[in-house]
Amino acid sequence: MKQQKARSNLDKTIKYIMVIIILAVFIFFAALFIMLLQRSQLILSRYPVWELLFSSEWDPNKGLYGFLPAVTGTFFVTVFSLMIAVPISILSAVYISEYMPSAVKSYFQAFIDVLAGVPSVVFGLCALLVLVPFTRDVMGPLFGVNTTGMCVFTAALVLAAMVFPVIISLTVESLSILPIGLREQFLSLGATKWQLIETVLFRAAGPGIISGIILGFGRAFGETMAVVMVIGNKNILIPSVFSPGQTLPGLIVGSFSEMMSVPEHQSALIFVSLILFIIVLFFNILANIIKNKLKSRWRYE
Amino acid sequence: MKKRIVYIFLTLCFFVSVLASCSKTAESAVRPSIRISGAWALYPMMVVWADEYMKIHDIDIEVTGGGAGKGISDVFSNQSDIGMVSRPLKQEELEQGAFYVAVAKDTVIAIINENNPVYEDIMDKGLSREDLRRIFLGEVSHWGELFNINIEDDEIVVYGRADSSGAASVWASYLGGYTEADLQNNSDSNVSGDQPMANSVQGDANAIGFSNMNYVYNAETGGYIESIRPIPIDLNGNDVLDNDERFYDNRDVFLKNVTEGIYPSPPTREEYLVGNGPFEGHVKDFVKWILEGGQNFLEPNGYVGLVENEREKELEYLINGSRHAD
Amino acid sequence: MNKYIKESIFRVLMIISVFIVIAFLVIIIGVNIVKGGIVLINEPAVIFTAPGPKYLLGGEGGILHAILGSILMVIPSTCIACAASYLIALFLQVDYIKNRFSNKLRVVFDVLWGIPSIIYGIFILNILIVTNRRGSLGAGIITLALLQMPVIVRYMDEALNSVPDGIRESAYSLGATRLETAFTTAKYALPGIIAGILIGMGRAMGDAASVIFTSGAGNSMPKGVSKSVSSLPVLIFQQANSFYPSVREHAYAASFVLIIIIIILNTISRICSKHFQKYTAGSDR
Repeated sequence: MKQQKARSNLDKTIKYIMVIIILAVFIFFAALFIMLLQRSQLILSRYPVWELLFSSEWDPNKGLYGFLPAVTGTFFVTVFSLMIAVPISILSAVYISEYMPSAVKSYFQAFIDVLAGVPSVVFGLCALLVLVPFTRDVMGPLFGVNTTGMCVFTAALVLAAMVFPVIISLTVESLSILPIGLREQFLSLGATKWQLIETVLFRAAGPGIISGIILGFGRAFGETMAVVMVIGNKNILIPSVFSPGQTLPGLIVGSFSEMMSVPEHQSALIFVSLILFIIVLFFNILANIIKNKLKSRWRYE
Repeated sequence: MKKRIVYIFLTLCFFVSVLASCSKTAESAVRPSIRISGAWALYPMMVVWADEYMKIHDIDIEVTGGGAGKGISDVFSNQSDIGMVSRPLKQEELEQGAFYVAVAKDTVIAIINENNPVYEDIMDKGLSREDLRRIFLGEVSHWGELFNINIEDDEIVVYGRADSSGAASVWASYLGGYTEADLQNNSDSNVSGDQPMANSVQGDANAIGFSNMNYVYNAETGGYIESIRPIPIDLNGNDVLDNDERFYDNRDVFLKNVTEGIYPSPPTREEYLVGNGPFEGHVKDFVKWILEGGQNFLEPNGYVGLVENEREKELEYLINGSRHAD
Repeated sequence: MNKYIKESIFRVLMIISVFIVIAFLVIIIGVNIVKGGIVLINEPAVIFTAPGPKYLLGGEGGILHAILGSILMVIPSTCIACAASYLIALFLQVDYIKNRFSNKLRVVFDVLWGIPSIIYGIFILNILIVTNRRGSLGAGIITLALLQMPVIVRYMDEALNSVPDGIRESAYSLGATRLETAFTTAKYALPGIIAGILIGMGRAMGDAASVIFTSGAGNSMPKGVSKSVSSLPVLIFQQANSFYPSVREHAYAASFVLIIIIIILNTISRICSKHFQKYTAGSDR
C-alpha cells in the first residue's frame, strides 16, 4: 500500500514537472512572438503594412522594403520541393517497410537517419559542387534555357533531399506499426500487395504520413543556409524555375549580422521573421484541421 | 524503472546547473582584457594582431566574429570594446555615437574568366567605368557589343552578392552612386561570399563578377589564381590601356598602385575599428599599437596597409577622440 | 488496368524512388569523404591540434577547437532537449490531457520547428543583451537545446502516437501508473524516438546561424561555460570563405569530421535502441 502511494506520488510529481516544462515552452513561444512584434514596430510605424507586403521593390538603402518577391519565392520553392519530395519519399518508404527484407531494412533506416542528421551547410556545399553544374550544364540545355545553375530548381532539389528523411522516417514508422492482421486479412482475399497498400495501408497510416508531410514542409520552409547558397538571391517575382529567386530566411541570413546596427534595416529583417512566424502558424493550424478531419474518416478500427 | 527516473532527474539537475553557471556574473579579471567582435573580413587579421600584442603586453584579448553589424551593435550594448567593420558606417550608426578609426585598406576588383570570348580585347583596351556600369546594370547583354564585334555564345553572365557586404556596396558606389540592391537586382545570379563569387566566375567563361583582391591574386606567389583574371580599368576613358594603366600583372605591382591611389577609391575602401564613443585606456593603447607597429603585419598576411599620411591622420583622430577636430 | 500490371508499375516506381534517395545520400557523403578524406590523409594532425594565430591565413594549426566546441555544445543540449521533450511528448498523449488540447499544443511545436534557426539566435542574443552577458558556451547550449526541442518533441510524439492502444491498455489493466505505462510504450516506440533525437541532434550540430550570435565565435579552445566557443559549422563558414586554398580544403575536412561524428552518434544510439528493445513486447516486429 505504501509502495503504491509512493508510485502515484511520483506519477503526480512528474506530471507537475511536465506542466511546468510545457508552461516554460509556452512562455518561450509567447516571448518570441512578442519580441518579433515589438522589434518590428519601427518599420511598421514608418511604412504601411500593405506596402511592405505587396511591393516588389527591395532596396534598404533607399528605404524601399518590398517583401513580395521573398514571400512568393519562399512559397514557390517550398511547394516545388514538396512536389518532388512527397511522391518519392512516400514510395520509397512503402518499399522500405513493405518489400525490403528486414535485414536490409534496419541498415537502410540507419542510412536515412544519417541523411537526416547531415547539417544543412554540408548540403549546401555539396549542392554547389554537384547540383549547380548539373542544372547549368544538363538541365538547362535540356529545357533549352540559359541558366547559371543557381536557381529555384536547384534550390528545390536540395530542399527535396533535405525533406526526404523526415517524410520517409515518419511514414516507415507509421506503416510498420500497423497490425499484421490488417495485411493478412486483405491479402487472403486475393488482393495484390499494391492494392493492399493503396486501399488499406495508406488510409490506416494516413495521419502519420500527413504529419510527415507537415513536418517536411516545416523543414523546407524554414531552411536557410542550403537554400541561400544555391538560389541566386535575386529580389524578383520568379518568372521560371530556372531563374534566381529570393526567400524570406535568405533575406534575414544575408544581411542581419551585417546590418543589425542600423535600426530601420534591423526592424525590417525582424518583420520578415514575423511574417515567417505568422505564415508557419497559419499553415500549421490549417494542416492540423485537415489532418483531424482525415483522421476521423480514415480510422481502421 | 527507478533507475531511469533517476537519470531523468540527473539530466534535469544538469540543465539547472548549466543555467546557474551561465547566470554567474563573469569573474572580475585581474588582468585587463579587451573584447573584440565584428566583420569576418577583418577577423583573421585581428587574431594575428591580438596574438602579437599579447606577446609584448600583459593583457587578455578575446576576438570573435559575427559580421559588421554585430560588431557595432555589440559595442553599443557594451558586449565588446572594439567592433570590426568592413563597410562605410551608416548615418544611423554615427548618430548613435559610433567612433571609428581606419586601420587597413582593402580593394575590390572586377573579375572575368580567362576563357572569356573577348579576353584579348579586354586585356588590351581595358573597360571604362561606363562600360562596367552598363554591364553590371544589365544594359549590355553580349560581350561582343562592348567592342562592336559579332561573336556567338557571348551572353554576359553577371554575378552579384547576395549578402550585405562591404565589397558590393563599395563596387556599387564606384559604378556611380548605386546601392548594393541595384547590383543584386540586375545580376543574373547572386552568391554569398567572395569565395563562391570567385568559384562561379571560374566555372563560367562568360561570367563577370567583383571580389576582393585576394581572390584574384595568390597571396603567396603574387600570380593570378587559376582561371580568374582582373579587368584592367581604362581610367581616362580613351578606349586604350595606356602604359600607366597597365599594372595588373602581379600582386605587388597592383598593390603599389592601390596604395598610391592610382587605382581609384572607391573601389578601394577602408576597414575600421569602431568604439562606443572615443577609445580609452588600454583599448586606446591597443588601437594605437595597431596603427603603429601593427601595420607591419598587414602585408605579409595579405592585407593592405594605410599610406603614411592617412595613418598619421587616423592616429590624430584616435588621440583627439574625434574625427572633426583640427 | 490489370492489377498485376499496376503492381509491377508501382514496384518499379518505388525502386526508382529508393535509388534516388540513395543517390542523394551517396553524393553527399561521397563528396565529403573523398574531398575531406584526402585532406585528412595528407595532414591527419588537423583534427588533433588547436589553431595557431594565423590559422585562417594559411598558417599552422588545426580544427580541434571547433570539434571540441561542437561536441561540448551539442551533447549537453541534446540531453537537456531529450529530457524535456520526452516529458512534453508524454504529456501530449491521451493519458494526461484531452486530445482537443494536445492537438492545439502540437501546433506550437510545429511552428517552432518551422521558424529558421537565426530567429532563435536573435532571441537569445536579445536576452543576453538585456541581462548584460556575452555569448558563451552556456548560452550556446541553451540555444541549441531550444532549437532541437521542437524537432524531438514532434518525432517522439508521432512515435508514441503510433503505439497500438492495446499495449497502453494492458499496462493500465495491470495497475501501472501513467509514468510506468509511459516507459512501456516508450520501448515500443523507441526507433521513432531515436530517429527524432538524431534529427534534432543533426539540426543542432549543423546549425551556424544561431550559434554565431550566442556562443561567440572565437579562435580559442573552449575554456569554460561562460567563455566563448566556436563550432564546426561556423568554422566551415569561415574556412570556405578564406582566400588561402589550403584553408578552403580544410572546410571539407571539417565537414567530413562533422559527418563522421553524426555517423558515430547514430551507430551508438542504434545499438542502445536494440539493447533496450530486446526486452519488449515490440521486439518481434
